[in-house]
Amino acid sequence: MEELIKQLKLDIIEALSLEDVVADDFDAETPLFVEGLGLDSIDALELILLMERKYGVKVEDPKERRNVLRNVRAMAECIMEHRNKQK
Amino acid sequence: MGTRVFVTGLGIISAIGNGTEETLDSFNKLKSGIGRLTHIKSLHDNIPVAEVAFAYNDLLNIAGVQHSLNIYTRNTLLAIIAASQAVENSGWLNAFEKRTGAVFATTVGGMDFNEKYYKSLLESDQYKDFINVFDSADCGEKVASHFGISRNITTISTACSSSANAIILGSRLIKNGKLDRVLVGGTDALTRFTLNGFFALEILSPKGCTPFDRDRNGLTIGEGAAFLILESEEVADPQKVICEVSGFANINEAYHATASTADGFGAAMAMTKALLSAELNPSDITYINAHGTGTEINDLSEGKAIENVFNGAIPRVSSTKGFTGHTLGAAGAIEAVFSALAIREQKALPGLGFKNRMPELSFDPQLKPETMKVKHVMSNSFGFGGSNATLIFSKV
Amino acid sequence: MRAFIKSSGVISPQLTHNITAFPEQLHEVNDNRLACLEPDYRNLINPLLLRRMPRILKMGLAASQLCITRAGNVIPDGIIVGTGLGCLDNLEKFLMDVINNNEHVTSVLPFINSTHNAVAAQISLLLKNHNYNITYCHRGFSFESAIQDAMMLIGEKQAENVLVGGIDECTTDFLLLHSYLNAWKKPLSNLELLSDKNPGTIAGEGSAFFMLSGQMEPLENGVVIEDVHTFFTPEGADLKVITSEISQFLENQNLSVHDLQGVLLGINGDPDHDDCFYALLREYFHNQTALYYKHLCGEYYTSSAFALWLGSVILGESQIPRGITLKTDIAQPIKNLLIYNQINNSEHSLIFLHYGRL
Repeated sequence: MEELIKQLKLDIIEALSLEDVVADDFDAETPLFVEGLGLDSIDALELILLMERKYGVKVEDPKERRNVLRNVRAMAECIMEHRNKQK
Repeated sequence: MGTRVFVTGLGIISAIGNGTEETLDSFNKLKSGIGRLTHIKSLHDNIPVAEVAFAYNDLLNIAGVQHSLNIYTRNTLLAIIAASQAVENSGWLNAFEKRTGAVFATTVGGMDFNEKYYKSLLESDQYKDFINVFDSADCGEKVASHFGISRNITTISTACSSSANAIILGSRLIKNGKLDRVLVGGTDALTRFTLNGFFALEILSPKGCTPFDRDRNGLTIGEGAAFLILESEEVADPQKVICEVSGFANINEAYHATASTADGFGAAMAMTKALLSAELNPSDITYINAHGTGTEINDLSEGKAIENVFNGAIPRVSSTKGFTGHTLGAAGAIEAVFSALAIREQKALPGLGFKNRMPELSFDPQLKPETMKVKHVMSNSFGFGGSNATLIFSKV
Repeated sequence: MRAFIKSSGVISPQLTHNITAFPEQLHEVNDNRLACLEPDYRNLINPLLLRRMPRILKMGLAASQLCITRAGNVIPDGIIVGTGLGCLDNLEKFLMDVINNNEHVTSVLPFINSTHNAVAAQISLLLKNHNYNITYCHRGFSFESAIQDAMMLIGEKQAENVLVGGIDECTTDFLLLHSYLNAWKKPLSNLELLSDKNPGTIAGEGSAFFMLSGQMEPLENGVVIEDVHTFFTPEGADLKVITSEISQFLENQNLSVHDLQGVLLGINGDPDHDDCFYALLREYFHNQTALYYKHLCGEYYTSSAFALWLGSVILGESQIPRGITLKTDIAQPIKNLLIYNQINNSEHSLIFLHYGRL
């Protein structure tokens, strides 16, 4: 899980071009939207694409998305759950 | 301010027909142009689109151009076809008889060729002859050459409000005494580029757009072209006058790159300013051809704006995008042609796909063509980047 | 319907972003492309916003910010941008994403940025400006259309101050594709551009913004854009047609070619392209100070925006810098100037400037 969280942070920094941010600047529980990293709706779309293209997870329901994208840990948990379902 | 601006010619090609007669027939029969993707191969061919019925070779024939002499994108062929109709039915003899210019609009430019040949061009020069048709000026220059227009030619690209802005500029060029006659309009062909862009934005309707419906779930991309001939009162042949461009407004919402405000502030500003420029009251408007894309945000935003501006006295409203899809850069001109037709035919035009009223609104869109006294028509076009344009056309 | 140039902000292949006068030294590059000398954008644009911006957006926002600050932070009543190719880099990016990943695209932001009006829209967004906003995308007419629109807006009394910009970026793909059309010379010094008689020119890019105003106090101390005109010759450039258009244009200002003191020409080093300019110099512009500018900024669709900046500096400072004159090296100060550019022997543009009263 912790490995996945580390990787996800790097993925997020790259996908959103957060040039001045490094992985140590935020942790798994830092809010991604509004406060914390302060991302917006366009960033949300990019993260949904990231989850789908790189991790094969489709999150379509808007309520579920708000939940899954609230922080990095929630994203990781969603991916893990999808992986377990695949097994 | 300045001379009056009259519309003396119309031309259109879209998913609901080639020319104004076929178009009106589709409205009368409530026949939508939305269907399956056939002209392009795409992963997303399960998503409804509104294509012009003709394949590329058919468009070449209709446009009557020599493919051996020049390279014509689908985008340009649509423009030539629509512009030719407008030119012909305005009684145009040549480009020199009146001080003439042209204002074009497009968002995709030559992307239908660009996306086909780009990868190959990065590897070899085999298709180098096509390079000069990729950008947004090509269709305008091909049309201008076709009709011998040599001065005051330009192209506007402001997303979905592009061709509405072209009509505004054309009108202002006449009012400022720079030109007596302007060919104005826009064109956008369907491309994988835009289909994938809108798909990634998650705003495409999986079943076809249903503007102003409570359960609407996105827009449907269409393609097409439309042109109008605008002339000053001094030079226009009274027999050819269809209607007047009596008011317009261009504002920027300055809110978000792709979305509008939920309270419709930007839309209301555009409509109010247009009414002011036409020296009209909201109660003077008989029919609104709304932007009405069928997305959750736009229809809420525009619907609320209509409620606020027209406050209890809401005119007939419809979005014709249930017929033509959202034709992006061509939408403003296509819907301007519809507005002119509404005046010529004295009919409010219908929308399609509506089943249940939006809880936030007090009105239903117009569901059937309705013969009535149509004096003033408002047409809205709201684009990405907050670019909002409203036009008002009036019976002369 | 004249307009005064209140201020400007320019990012170009010369060191123009941190000064308002002409640079002390001409920047020399040995290549067939000139890239902009860019400022540290963090000083001009909120760093939190920079991350999502493609380069051309940064160039546009920075140059417009410089322009607005120098105009005393006036609120523009209109924002008008001319760009031949728009956000080309992001358009290419999204296109390749669609092609290479078989429509399983990995990012949506490049699509949003690829709309041609992204620069004008972003400026509006940052200024929270709801006024008139438009983008022209017609190759060599893009910037001229923007100027004409701004002047009309001022003449209509719809605006007192209008922010107008001309912007284009050069990308590697663009260079490659146009190399197939023999557009570029082999790498050379840009300052030797006209000595090289081989086909082709040198690619360029730039972002030049101006605050145009309906008034400047006092009238005597302003650089004025008197008029702008474009014409299209798809069959090729013809000297008779060109001189006729120029004569008519000058006549519209109640002038003849004899009243013209200076001309700033879009000569780009390609013999086929430059033929008409040299013919004009032989047959028509006999007594004018003749200047050129594309060795400083390169060839691109909105290079006339750079030319307008250069022209305004020449008139405003009452001095002609070294290294831009065609006939003699030292030239007398001039009080009026005609900028004439053409692209592809088909798109011709004229801008007439003067200093103080005509």
